[in-house]
Amino acid sequence: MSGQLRLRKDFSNNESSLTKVSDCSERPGSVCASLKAKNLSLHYGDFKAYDNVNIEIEPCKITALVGPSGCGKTSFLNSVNRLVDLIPGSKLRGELSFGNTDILSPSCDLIELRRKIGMVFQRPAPFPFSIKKNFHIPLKEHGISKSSVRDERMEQSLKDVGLWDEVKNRLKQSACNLSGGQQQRLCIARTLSLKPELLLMDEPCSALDPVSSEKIEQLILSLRDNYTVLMVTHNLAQAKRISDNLLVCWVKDGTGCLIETGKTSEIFFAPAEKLTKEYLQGVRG
Amino acid sequence: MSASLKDSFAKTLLGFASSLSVLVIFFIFYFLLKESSLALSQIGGSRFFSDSTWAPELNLAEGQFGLLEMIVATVAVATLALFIAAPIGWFTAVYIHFFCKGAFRIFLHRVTEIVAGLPSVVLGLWGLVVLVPVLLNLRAPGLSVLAGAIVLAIMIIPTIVVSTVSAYQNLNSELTLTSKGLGIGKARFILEIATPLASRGISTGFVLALARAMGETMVVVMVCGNVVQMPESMLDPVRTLTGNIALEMGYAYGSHQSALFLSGFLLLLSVLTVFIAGRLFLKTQEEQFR
Repeated sequence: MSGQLRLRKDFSNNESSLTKVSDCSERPGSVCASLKAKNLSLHYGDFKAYDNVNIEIEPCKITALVGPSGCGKTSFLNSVNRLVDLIPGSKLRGELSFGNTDILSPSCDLIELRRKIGMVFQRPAPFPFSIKKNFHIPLKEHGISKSSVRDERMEQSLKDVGLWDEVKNRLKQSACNLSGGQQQRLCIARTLSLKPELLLMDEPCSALDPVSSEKIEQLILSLRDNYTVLMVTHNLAQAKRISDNLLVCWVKDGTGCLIETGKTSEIFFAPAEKLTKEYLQGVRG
Repeated sequence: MSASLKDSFAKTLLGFASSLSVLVIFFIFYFLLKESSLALSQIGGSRFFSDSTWAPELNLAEGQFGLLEMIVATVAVATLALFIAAPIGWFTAVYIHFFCKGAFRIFLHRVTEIVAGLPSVVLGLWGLVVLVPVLLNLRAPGLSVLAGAIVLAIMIIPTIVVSTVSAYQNLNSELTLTSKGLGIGKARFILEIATPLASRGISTGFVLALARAMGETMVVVMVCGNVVQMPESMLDPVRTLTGNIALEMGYAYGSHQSALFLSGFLLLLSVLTVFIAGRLFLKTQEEQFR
C-alpha cells in the first residue's frame, strides 16, 4: 500500500490515529514536513470549540476539512498558525507540531511560523495599497531587503497563480481595483511569495462567482505538487473534486470533533461512519 | 403620518440644522468684515502690513497699525506647539491602541479626556507658576514663544490622541488578521499598513489641533509676555493676534476697535487656510502612500 494512508479508528475513546505509509521522497524537491496534532483541543474561555483532535496531514497532498457550521473547522485552521491567539481567552491544549516545530511552544517564533504556514482567508483580503506594495510589505518583514529580489518573487508568484499577464502593467495600481477572483489569486500569490511549506485555506472559493471559483480550484490543484494544502470547504462537490484526503468534523454536545478521516475517494465511496454517510448524502448537516 | 411624509419631514429638519451651521460661519465672516470696514476705509488695508509695529493712536496718522509681528507670533507659537504635541500625541495613541489592554487602556483614555477638559486658564496658571520660572533660568523674562508653545502643546495633545486612536479604530479589523496571517510583525504593521491607511484621520487631528492652538487666547496672554515684536528666538516674548484682541478690546473704540475686528478676521482666515492647506497636503500624501 505504498503511497497510501491507512486509518485505524478507535471509537470507544473517540480517537482516531493514522499510520502514514507514504513519504515525500517520491517527490524530489518538495517539502516534506507534516502537520501532526495529538489530543488537541481549543477553548474560548469556558466554551470548548473542538476537542481531542488527532491527525497527521499528509505532505504534498490536498486535505479537505468538511463538516457542518460550528464544528470548529476554521478554529482548527486558525490554531495551526496560532491566529487563535488574537482571540482573548483562547487556549490551545495538547500537541501540535509541524516538522520539527512545536507550534504550541511559548518560544515558537510566530512570525516565522506564519511564513512557513501560509493562510488564505475566505474573503479576498488584499491590503488597500498597490499590487506591488501588497507583496513588498510581507517580503520585507521576512528579511528580503533587496527591492529587486522582492520584485522577482512577486513576478514568480503572480505567474504561479496565472495572474501575471493580467496585472503586469498595473502593478502600481490599487489591488482593490481587481475583481474578487483576481484579488483572491493575488492573496494566494502573496502567500506563496513567502515560500510557505503548508497552505491553509479557509473556504477560498466561497465568496467568489463560479468562474473565479473554478480558476482557484485549478490553481489549488496545480499547487499540490509543491505544497501541502489544508483547506476548509462547505462545498462537498469541491472537496470530492480536488482533495486527496478528507477530514470530516461534527458537533457533539456543542463541541467540534473529528468523526472520520481518510482518502477522499474511499470516504465518498464507502463512509465508515453513519453520520458521515448522512452528511455526504445531504440528509444531515 | 405616512412613512414617506415622516421621511421628508426628517430630511427637511436635518437639512435645516446642517445649513444653520454653514450659515453661522458666513454670518461670522460677514460680521467681522462689516466691523472692520471702518478701519479699512480710515486706515487703509495696506498699512496693516506696511506699518512696522502695532501702536494704535487716536490720531491715525501718528499711530502704527502693523499686524505682521503678531501674525508671525501667532503662527510661530501654534506651529511650535504642534511640533511638540504631534509626536507625543501620536506615540501615545499608538501605545493606547496597539499596546494597551483592559483597565490600563481605559485609565489612559480617561486621563486624556480629563486633560482635554482642563480649563485653559488653569493650564495658563500652571505655565506661569511652573514653566515660566524654569525658562527664566535660560533667559529673561521667561514669558516667551516657547512657554506658550509648551502649554498649548499640553492642551492639544488630547485632541491629537483622541483623533489618532479613532483613526486607528476605524481601520478594517480584517487588516490585522491578514497581516498576522502573513507573519507581519507589529512594528511594520503600525508603520507601513495602519498608519498610512489612517493618515487621513490622523492628519485631520493635527489640523484641528493646530487650529485650536492658533485660536487659543487665555494661555498665550498669560505666558507669552504680550510684547509686540518680531520674535527672533523661541525665548522672546511675543503678542499673538488673539492676545491682542483680548487685551485691547476692553478699551478700544472707533478705528482702533475696528482694527481689532480686522485682526479677528485675519485670524479666522488663517485658520481656514490651515484647514485648506491640510486637506491639500493630505491629498498628495495619500496618492504617495498607495
